[in-house]
Amino acid sequence: MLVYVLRRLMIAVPVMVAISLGAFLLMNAMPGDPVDRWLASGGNTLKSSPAALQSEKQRIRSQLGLDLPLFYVSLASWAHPDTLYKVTNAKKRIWMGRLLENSGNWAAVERFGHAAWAYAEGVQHSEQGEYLKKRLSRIVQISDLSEMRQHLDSLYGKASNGCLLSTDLCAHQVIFLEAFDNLASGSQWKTWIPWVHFHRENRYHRWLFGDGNWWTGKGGTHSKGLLRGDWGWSIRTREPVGSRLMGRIGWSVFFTLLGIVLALAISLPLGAWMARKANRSFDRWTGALVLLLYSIPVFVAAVALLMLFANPDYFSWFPVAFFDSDRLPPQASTWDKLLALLPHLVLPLVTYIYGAFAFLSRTIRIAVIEVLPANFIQTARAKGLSEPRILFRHALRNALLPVVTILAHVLPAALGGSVLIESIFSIPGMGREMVMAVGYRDYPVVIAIVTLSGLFSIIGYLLADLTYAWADPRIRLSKTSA
Amino acid sequence: MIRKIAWLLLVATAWVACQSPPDPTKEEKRPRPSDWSTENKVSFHLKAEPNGLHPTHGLTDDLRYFMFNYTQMRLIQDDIISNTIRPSLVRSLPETSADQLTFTYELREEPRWDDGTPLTIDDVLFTLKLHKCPLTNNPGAKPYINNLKAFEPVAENDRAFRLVMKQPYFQNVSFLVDFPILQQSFHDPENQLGDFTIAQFDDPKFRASEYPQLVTWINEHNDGKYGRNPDLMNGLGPYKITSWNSDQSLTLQKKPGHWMDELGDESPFESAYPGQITFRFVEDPNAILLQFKQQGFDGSTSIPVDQMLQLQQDPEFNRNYESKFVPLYNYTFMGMNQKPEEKNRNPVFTDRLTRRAVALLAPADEIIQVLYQGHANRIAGVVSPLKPDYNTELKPLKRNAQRATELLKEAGWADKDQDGILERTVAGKDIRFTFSLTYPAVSDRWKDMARMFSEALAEAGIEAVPEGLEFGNFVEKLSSHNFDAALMSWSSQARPDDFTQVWHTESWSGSGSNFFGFGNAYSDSLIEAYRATVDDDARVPISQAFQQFVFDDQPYVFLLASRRRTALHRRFENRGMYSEKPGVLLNFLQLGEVAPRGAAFNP
Repeated sequence: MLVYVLRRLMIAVPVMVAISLGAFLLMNAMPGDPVDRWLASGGNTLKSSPAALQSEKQRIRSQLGLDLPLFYVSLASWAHPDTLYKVTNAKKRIWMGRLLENSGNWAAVERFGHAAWAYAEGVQHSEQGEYLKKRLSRIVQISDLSEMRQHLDSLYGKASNGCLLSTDLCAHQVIFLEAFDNLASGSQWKTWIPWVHFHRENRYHRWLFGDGNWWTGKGGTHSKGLLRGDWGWSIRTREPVGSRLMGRIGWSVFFTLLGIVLALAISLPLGAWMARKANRSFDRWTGALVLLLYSIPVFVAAVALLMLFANPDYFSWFPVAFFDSDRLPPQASTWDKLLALLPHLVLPLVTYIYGAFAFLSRTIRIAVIEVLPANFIQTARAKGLSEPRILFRHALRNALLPVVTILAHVLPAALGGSVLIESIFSIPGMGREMVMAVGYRDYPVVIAIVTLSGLFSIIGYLLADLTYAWADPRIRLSKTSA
Repeated sequence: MIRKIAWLLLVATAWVACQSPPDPTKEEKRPRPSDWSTENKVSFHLKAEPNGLHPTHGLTDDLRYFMFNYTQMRLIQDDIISNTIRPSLVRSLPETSADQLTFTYELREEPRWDDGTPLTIDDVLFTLKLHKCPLTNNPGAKPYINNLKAFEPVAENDRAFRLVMKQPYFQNVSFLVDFPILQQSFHDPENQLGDFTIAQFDDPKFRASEYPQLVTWINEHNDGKYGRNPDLMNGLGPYKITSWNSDQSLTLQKKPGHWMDELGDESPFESAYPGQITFRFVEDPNAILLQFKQQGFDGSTSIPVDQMLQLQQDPEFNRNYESKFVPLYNYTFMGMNQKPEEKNRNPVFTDRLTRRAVALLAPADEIIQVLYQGHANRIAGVVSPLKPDYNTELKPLKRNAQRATELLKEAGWADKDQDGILERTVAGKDIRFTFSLTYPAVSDRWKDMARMFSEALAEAGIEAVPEGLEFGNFVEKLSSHNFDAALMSWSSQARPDDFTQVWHTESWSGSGSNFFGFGNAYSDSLIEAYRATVDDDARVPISQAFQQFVFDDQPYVFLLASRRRTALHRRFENRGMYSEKPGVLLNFLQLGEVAPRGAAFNP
């Protein structure tokens, strides 16, 4: 058994790395810039200077490591340099990447790109006419070289006589027109040859090891790395991700575990009794009732419970708001707090568990029906054991295997929480946190939740395997000798 | 037995289902005014908690601004009653030099920190330097303080100082409302910033990495715990954060013996009547409704429209609360991409006639009636009618399908192939009048608005295809100009807006918010003149000329300005409800006398 557990734990390490990497790559591939979302939070206020804003965006991108390549290796063409990601302006980076695909000569693209961009920005801020501004803003978007040639020819005609431009801009123009000739005489064939680039500094490395020395951790300023227990910082709240999540996991796990315990406490005897009374009126009526409950959507049930049992117009039996220890006097004891907590648990718990009755009780019912004709049950009857003892002690234990499979999913589900229930009952759990984190592109939090979810899944399946062995002694987990 | 239980359940369910909502005319059995709480504590509803209350992070977070009204103080603050700015920690608004670049302030003598030490100009200098420091994690604040050039103490008065600005700008005083003053000895006891100047931090060649001690200190300062842990937060305001239960509540306690108490001033801005203010975070509309029915909240400024209307039908609610729909400065609109060539979008909105035709087809009044139950205001342009510089010549466009059809025809649109969709020829190519109408998929209201728009335009042969996008994706699409038209809204405030970010052409090619490609040299010149004009009266004609230009150019279909749904419990007096954010002055709520049990009560 111990060997089996150790072996499973060793396999868990590469699985965890794969899960974290998958979550990391997926989140980074999603559209939307976390810095934009961050700056947009709290409403779009109508002020500030665009130039200052741009410089701030670049600074914060660098601080968050968003200007680094994603991973240790990247696959591109031979023509692609391993430094394109260092171009901080996203528009400029994308445009230069496209230019490179049409040219194949990175040195020429780099020179032309920077010169053209500087020229275009110079013209934008100058007293030049609309024509030039429009033409240049177009040039720094197109990547097709023949189309660009047409635009440049047009520029020659309109602006290269020196009469329209200031000395500085003329100098820029000369540089960038010369650079274009080099660009056009590039070596496009290089773009057809695949090439693997290695990046010592990358976002994943920073996430794992921090931004200091990877071994000692010294010299870091923003992150110590996941392997040193630093999950990074929440982009939204600027809190350490670990402490942010710890406060929420508790409630989600509490509700899920308590919910499943209650659901099992009701469904196990119910299912067993339904099996005992199979195809009789109790079985039929109870089956119909649990299926009816199962068919009610969670949000409908939650709102209906709230509007019915927490409403002065009907029954004001339960509180609307979730438990908040601040509502109690400071001298309240733990017992007082527990008592005060109870009424807040009823409606959310009912919402958590009502849907599970149908599935669990029907599963148990079928399993028990299959077990009841077995020889060992007949033997028990022959020994004179009472019917409830036979049912709950012998038949039920042997019918537990399908339920154990369900339990394997409980832990990761607990981590995910339930967004709807948490929102309606104002429970500070993981579901709401996940939704907020995704909405804000708060990728350190999202990655942490997905990674933790993976860890919980591994633990859940391990526990399920161990429970199988307990429920059915015929299952052997360790390697049997030949 | 089973049958009996089943019947009982059925009858119980039927009884509950048949219960009608409460009849407003019936006598209620719920608490009477004499049962109102007599605690001098305010329980205020918010839909979400602030992202953090760090003294320098998160400038644009409205909730943070709201909380800081009670825990922090600024040199200058918004006067939300008169919609101006007022001196707060300074004796008066500053004296201004002739070149409009130097502003002389004098600190008041009364303000004291929690440890009893007085506010000094060193605290002001520390605050400004901290925000200027390149390592301070305050991206939202940097653009606002960018124009500050120097801080100069006045030699003959140790409470006076001058702020020297780089350029004349109409927000050279009002920008200070966004900067709470921080205690230097609390945040920087070893005076790490004392070795640096504002000019150093302004220099692009400044390399912070050359100063390891500064890096260490500022990294510690940037830690989110200074915006979360109540023990690590302080401020000059009359309240202190005592607890923060994440996603549930945040409690402020009145500081005993606060310096404001000695003033004897009954100004709404310098009073602190409630002994405790607790912000409670509830998101679900039904839970909000029930909380008000149970008097669980003393107030809110964010009750959903439907729930507010439902509550206002309840006599018990009206007895307990005063509630109002308060007009706001924000505006909702449909913006049209005028420069579609960048991303090869369908060039349908490149001419003014077409844009005006679409504006004439917009179902703005229907949207207000259906989606806002009539509780929103029509708007005509970029400046709110609540502001003094609003151009009163501009009137909201009324729906006029006939005129719209004429304009479309004039713009060259016609249904040539008789398929119900208009076409026209642009640069030798036939284009159909079909476009995607992008909106943020954050609530059903945006979706419904897009559908109503789509249906209204379809009647004139225009195909608008609603496209809901997750918010991050929506912002990305707008920033990259990869869209045809978008439904969205801008928030604003009573203070004059700087039009640069949203309307200057530089904000289209750069990283601003002119997503729709509006503007030309003339509009830019108006915006720049407006920025540089410090005199309020002189700025009005420039603003009005700009409003007229926007109105004529029709870059947006201006739809509506929504209203804040405010309710305050009647057990408090001084229940002011204002248009300017945050819309209420909780510090000024004074516990009133409670009616004796059984007494008649007429709200």
